[in-house]
Amino acid sequence: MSLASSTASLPLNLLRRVGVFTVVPNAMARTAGAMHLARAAVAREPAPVAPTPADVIAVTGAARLLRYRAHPDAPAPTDTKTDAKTAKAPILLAPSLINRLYVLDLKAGVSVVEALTRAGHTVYGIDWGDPGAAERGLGLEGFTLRLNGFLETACRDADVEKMTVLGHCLGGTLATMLAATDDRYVESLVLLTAPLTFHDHGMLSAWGRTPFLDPKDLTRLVGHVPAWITQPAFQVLKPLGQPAKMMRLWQSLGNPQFLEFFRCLETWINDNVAIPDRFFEELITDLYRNDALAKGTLCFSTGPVVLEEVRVPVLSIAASEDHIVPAQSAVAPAARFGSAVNQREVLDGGHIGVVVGSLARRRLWPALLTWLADPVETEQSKAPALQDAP
Amino acid sequence: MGKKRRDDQSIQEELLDRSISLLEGPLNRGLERVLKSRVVLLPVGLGFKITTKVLAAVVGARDGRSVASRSAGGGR
Repeated sequence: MSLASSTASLPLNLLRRVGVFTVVPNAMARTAGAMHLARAAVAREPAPVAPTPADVIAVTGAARLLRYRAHPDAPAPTDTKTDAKTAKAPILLAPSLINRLYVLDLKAGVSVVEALTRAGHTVYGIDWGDPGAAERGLGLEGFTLRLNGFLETACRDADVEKMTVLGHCLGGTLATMLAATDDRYVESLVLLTAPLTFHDHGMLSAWGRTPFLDPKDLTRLVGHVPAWITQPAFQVLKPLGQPAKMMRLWQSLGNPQFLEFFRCLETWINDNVAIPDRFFEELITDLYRNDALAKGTLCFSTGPVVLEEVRVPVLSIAASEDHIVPAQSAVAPAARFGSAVNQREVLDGGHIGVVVGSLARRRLWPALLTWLADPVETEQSKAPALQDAP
Repeated sequence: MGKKRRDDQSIQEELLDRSISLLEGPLNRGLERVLKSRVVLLPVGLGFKITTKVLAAVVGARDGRSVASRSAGGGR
């Protein structure tokens, strides 16, 4: 029977492998997908990004502090003062200075904010905004102080003494600097692909240490470093990323869900903001060239910024295929924190994929919720959803 | 699992899959190595330095001229 049936199915298999049965439906689905994308582009239809409604509760310079509105399915709020055991801990999201906050609230179903608000947490977020006159001359210390100001405001608003800060990318670096210098309002830290050492094998590290490069040459010329300079630089970080992306798009043109996700992600990727002038100079000189944070030579007006001085509970999460912040740059220096609870994890995925990819839903969000419920318990159970850092 | 998926795919789709893996994997890594080598970074750094200095001088000279012309015409 098997010989006869396999002989009979051989031509069928061959036809299937050649694509006879799929070529027409695939072509039709892709054409429909391409037309959908073209129609959205021509009509300038905005991608449905940042779906969670939020209110601005403070403004400093170009930056705004947002409070996301409660999710309709969230459990009833409890008084944080009287019912401290069951109250859901509030959290402040600090994104990178050069990207928009809404990577953490990309679209419905792909949103850290939604996952947190649905679980009943009050979520605050910092939108650093497009730097203007108020950001001129504001460096690492200035932005760390600004972060602290927003954290204090959020704590007052939530009626708590301290709050967990989730720092994404450079936002995590700033949050670490804050925890190392003034942790009055910091309950715990969640560092999401946050660079702590800048001397690594990555392209960004090599470029930051390019011979003759003086960031002041550029800032003297252009002031705040505009997105039209940084955007192509980030694209070249993954030199063949653009053709590969186009091929992936072609592959998935027939998948409407993928197309919507693609539009949202592209909207965010192309919505960069300028890097404040002084911040850029210190980022390149102090961090990339001198690796001052990891070496302990970074100094604020209040004194040195030392990683060992971070005493609050810390959860550091890195991405194994991160081409912007290599995993070891994020987790290895975190081992030096003076925190009693200090968990370091490496998740599968890239710099953005770890936040918006399918694994984020299955691994990052549950880990965050467990951490917010009780960091000590997370440390003891070693968050089964996560894997240990190498 | 990957093998089974490939068996279900048409040859064109499999080729596309393999091309993407090749682009994102070894080809990308090779190009990255070139782009971060000193052979590339040294001239890029020097070129960047010279370009920004020249541009700064040009912009400075232009601004200086416009300030001078504004001062000259200040009494009108």
